Amino acid sequence: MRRNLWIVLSVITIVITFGVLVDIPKSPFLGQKIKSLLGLDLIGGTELIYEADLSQSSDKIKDLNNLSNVFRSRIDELGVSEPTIQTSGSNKIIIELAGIKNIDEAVNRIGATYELSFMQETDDTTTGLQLKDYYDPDFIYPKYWQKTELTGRQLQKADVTFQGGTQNSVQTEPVVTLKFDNPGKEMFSMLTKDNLNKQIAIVLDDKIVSAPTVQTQISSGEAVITGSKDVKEAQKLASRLNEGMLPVPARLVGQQNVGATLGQDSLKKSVVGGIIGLLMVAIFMVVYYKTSGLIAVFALLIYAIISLAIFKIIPVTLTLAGIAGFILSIGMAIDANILIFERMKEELKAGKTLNLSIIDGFKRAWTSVRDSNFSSIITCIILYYTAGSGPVRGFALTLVIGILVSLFTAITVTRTILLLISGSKLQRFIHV
Amino acid sequence: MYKFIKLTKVWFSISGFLMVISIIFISVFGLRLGIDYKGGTAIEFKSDNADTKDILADMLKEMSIDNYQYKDGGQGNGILKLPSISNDQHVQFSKLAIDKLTNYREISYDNVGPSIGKDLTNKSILAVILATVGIIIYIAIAFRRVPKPLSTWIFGVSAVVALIHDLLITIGFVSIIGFFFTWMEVDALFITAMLTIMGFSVHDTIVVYDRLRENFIHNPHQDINLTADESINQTLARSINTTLTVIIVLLALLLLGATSIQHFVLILVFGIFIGTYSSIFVATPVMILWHRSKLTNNKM
Repeated sequence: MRRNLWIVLSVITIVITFGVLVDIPKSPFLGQKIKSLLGLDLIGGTELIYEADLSQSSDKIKDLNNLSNVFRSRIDELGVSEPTIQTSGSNKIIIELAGIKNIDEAVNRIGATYELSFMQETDDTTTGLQLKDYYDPDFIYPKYWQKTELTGRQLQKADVTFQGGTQNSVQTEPVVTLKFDNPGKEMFSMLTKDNLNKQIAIVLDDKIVSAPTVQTQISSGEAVITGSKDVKEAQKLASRLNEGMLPVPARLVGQQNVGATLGQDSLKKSVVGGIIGLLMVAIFMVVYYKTSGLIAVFALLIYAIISLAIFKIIPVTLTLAGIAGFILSIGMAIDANILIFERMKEELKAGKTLNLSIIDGFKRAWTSVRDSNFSSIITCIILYYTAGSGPVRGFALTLVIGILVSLFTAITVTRTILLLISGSKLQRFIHV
Repeated sequence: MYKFIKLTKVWFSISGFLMVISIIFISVFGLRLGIDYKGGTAIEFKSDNADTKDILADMLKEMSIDNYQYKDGGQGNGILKLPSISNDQHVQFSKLAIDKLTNYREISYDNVGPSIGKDLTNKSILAVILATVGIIIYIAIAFRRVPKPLSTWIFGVSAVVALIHDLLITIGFVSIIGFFFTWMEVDALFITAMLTIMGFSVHDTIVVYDRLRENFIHNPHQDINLTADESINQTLARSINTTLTVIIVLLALLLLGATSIQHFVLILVFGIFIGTYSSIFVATPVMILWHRSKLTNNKM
């Protein structure tokens, strides 16, 4: 019996050690990421909700994913660190940018409809467009360009292949091959015929991705773009072309900006409020339940260590509501202990020995603890799956993790320690 | 031992009164819908001007927005609420504000398009329905083995009666507070609070019912009123202590925590208090009353 208790105690110790190792800021495990655990409302930043117009789309899921890839590459260009981009429902994309400064510029950049078009040179300097290079925004092409009827809609496929450049007779030059559909084949044939020995421009988002010189009329509907520096660049080009095949217009339907000062202020206040509240609970527990209360407070500490470790491992983004959920779950953890202690008191009053009172108290209180916590778990699960928005999810997730961990600590930790003490010389110190 | 069941009429009068008042509040004052639900834009800012209101009026006239609300938060803080505006309009507004207001700083900006609000409404309704059904099924399973003549059905429905009681009075509370204070808005967190209160309410009720079932099994021939009173008394210390600890932490969060979730925390404090109240004064008396009337009917 006591041997089992010591085994449980060692398991608990191992779990705590692991928890502490995960929790400490520069831990050997997930130490560096503590900052990314905090939600936008705590560090400041912006959340954007885009709604895609998929009415022209044949494969809605693919197009929505494509759009979110486009958003991702645009955000990467903006240099925002660790953005979250997720699709929501059938047509929405939610973007979270933490700590971003120039929000309006970012919004304009991200939300522009991406359109792939093929342009030809023009001498008309009034209607012709002057275009920048896609990769080097400082470089403006010297020529003027005008649109043709050929756009990304006629493009079927863009792939990276290899050709030429014999090095040990292996083809090493990465090129991007384009394949047009039937109407596109005609248009491309006309375009290359009209612009023989001249440059045509492949334009994405009003910037030139590539401006190859036409060497011959191409009527097969397949073209090759050479001149990529390396495979990476060719792949980048191919994926841009793929993105541009179907322009999906997206509308900004929701936006939330939180200033960094407001976020930090909220964080500080929540932490202070939470700590003071917990201290008061700890004092209450010790005053009311004496040494048992002290053990419950110790169990609570372990509970906090384990929960935080789980938040870090999953990882759970902590928003203001999430912190509230966490603090609320501490109430649940305490409740389990209170239920048990009250039961122990009754058993002691009925004249049972301390050891038996602990065992029976736990056993009898367990059904209540289990049944009552389950109802909260049900509402949390429903909240998590029906609520699309971040703060509500964060709340439900922290609360449900909190409840599960609290069941473990309240039952295992408190029970083991109480039983170990009650069988030893220290047992005269136990008061409920 | 306190005789709770004897005073059933008193508890029912109190609860009935609170519920009627709540219904009156809700129908007369309604609820203050936040932009989460109805769509719109909220801009929170700070400036050093004293006459912000007039300057804002000019600015918005220039932008031809006439449907707006401005609330002065004191010390240069203010919240402006508009119908949902576009990013370009937001840029224009910021430029104008920086131009015309001294030391203008935007603290937060929140824009919700109408489609998002509709989405959230649908999701919220779905969540409440699912949670209610889930809880009824859960209680039916948890109390499937109650000794005769107790009935699983009566336990489940009585718990739901207490649940509706709690939600109704909490919504009434939100309605009356929202009538006087603009910060008490119905937003996504409101629904979250409601579902949490549902979870807690049932949590408390189950603790009492669990004890009732246990005592009944132990002593089936005792008067059911006495068994119920015993059960409530045995769980009373637990109910009070648990609610006390939860409310202590929530109060600390309410008084010291971040302002943007204070309405959420306040709803939770109120709802959890009512939930505990109803587990003692509503859930058990309703169950006993129903149980007894069923027994008398059977005898006749």
